[in-house]
Amino acid sequence: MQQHRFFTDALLLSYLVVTAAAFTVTMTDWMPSGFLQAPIRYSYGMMAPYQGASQYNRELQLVGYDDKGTATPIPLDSYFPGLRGEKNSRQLLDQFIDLSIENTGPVYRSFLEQIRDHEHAQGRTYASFQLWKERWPTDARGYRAGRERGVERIFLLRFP
Amino acid sequence: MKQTLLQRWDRFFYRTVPPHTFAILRIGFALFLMLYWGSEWRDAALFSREFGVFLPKISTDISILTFFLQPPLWFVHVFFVITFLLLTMFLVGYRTRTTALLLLILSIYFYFWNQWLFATSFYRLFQFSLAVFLFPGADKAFSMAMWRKHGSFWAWQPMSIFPLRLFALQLTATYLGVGWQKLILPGWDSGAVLFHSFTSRWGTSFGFYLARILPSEFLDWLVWLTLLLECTMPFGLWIRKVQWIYFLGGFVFHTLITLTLGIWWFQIMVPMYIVFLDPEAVFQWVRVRSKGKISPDSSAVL
Repeated sequence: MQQHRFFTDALLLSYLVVTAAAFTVTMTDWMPSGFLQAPIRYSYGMMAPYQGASQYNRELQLVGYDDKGTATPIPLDSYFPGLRGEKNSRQLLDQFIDLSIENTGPVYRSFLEQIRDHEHAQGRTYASFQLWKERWPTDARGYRAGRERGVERIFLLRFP
Repeated sequence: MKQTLLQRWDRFFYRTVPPHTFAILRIGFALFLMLYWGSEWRDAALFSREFGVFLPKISTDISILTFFLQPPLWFVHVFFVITFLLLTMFLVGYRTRTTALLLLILSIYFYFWNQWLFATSFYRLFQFSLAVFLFPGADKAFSMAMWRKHGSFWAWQPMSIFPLRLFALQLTATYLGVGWQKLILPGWDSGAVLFHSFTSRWGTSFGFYLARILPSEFLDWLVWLTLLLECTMPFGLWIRKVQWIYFLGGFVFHTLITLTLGIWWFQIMVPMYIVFLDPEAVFQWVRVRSKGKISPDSSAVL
């Protein structure tokens, strides 16, 4: 009984310390190093959702080219689960927070290899692909309505 | 007699209480997880190697890992069938702690398989909740366990309040972080942040509609109301006299997020508010409505 109580007290105190540290991270962006970082990061994740409000919407645009160079837009949403927000978050690699735009190449290459194979399995064969990231201002008339006011494009990758 | 700090600590974290709060939470949480995993099952094909896109979190050079982290479609369906079987066992309170552990393991597996690309607060809260259900008590009322032991679904046994306190502390911490961080995050000083949220990738038709019709002054006011609610929520939930205002406020807040942004997963936090009520009061409330089926004494079957 005493042992059991010692265990729960220790667990409770550890939980309180980690949660307090995670709250400090939430308010100050200071992340401690060492073995406590993983639980603190996890706890931080439970108390700091949704920080993504922006004046721009972003999306990937993928185009496949056949042997004659004819371009065909490939809708990416059909390859990702969830509603628009989740599909978009997965496509834009939101979880790769440490990757700069220059370093996303290898990740998107793997991404495009799989889409090439899926497209091929459905009878659509492409000789090459080009991938862009686009952004446009948000607009109350609709998700894509703001594109009329201008779209910025960042070239990401030519594949293969 | 005046209580010492240690006695207060003991009473707050370890006192023995009726288990009905935890049992109701078990049932609500199981139903919510069924809704969540059902929505994931709908996209089963996109979690399979035949139709989905995988960016593994860990190296898949080892072939057995490749199989599990980029599984074929038949395996995806097996995964969901097992998950739903376990959720059903959890719902009815049959081997509850074992099923909670297995569900936790499956959720960790699903994270490495696919969910890490959409690693979110709600998913962590689900995992945390499953971990809290490893503590005893959730099947000490309204469960197969009680039916097997005492021959009645209405039989009950007391439990330690400890897991309920863990839930309450985590909900407090979540609202504390979410609310107070907004005081320093850029953009939360005007309604523009709501306009951009309603018209973002998350925006629903209703969100876009509100962005069209609501004047910016109203959005400013809505931001202040959100800050007021979220920043005081961690305290208000604990104060008996005002907690019902926060229960209602939380319900409206999370429902509006669901309607305008389609982010419905945090709705689970609303039924979880039950942990801020006294377990003895919940027991009395349930007992009165059971029309005499629930005994005032533990494990006595009427």
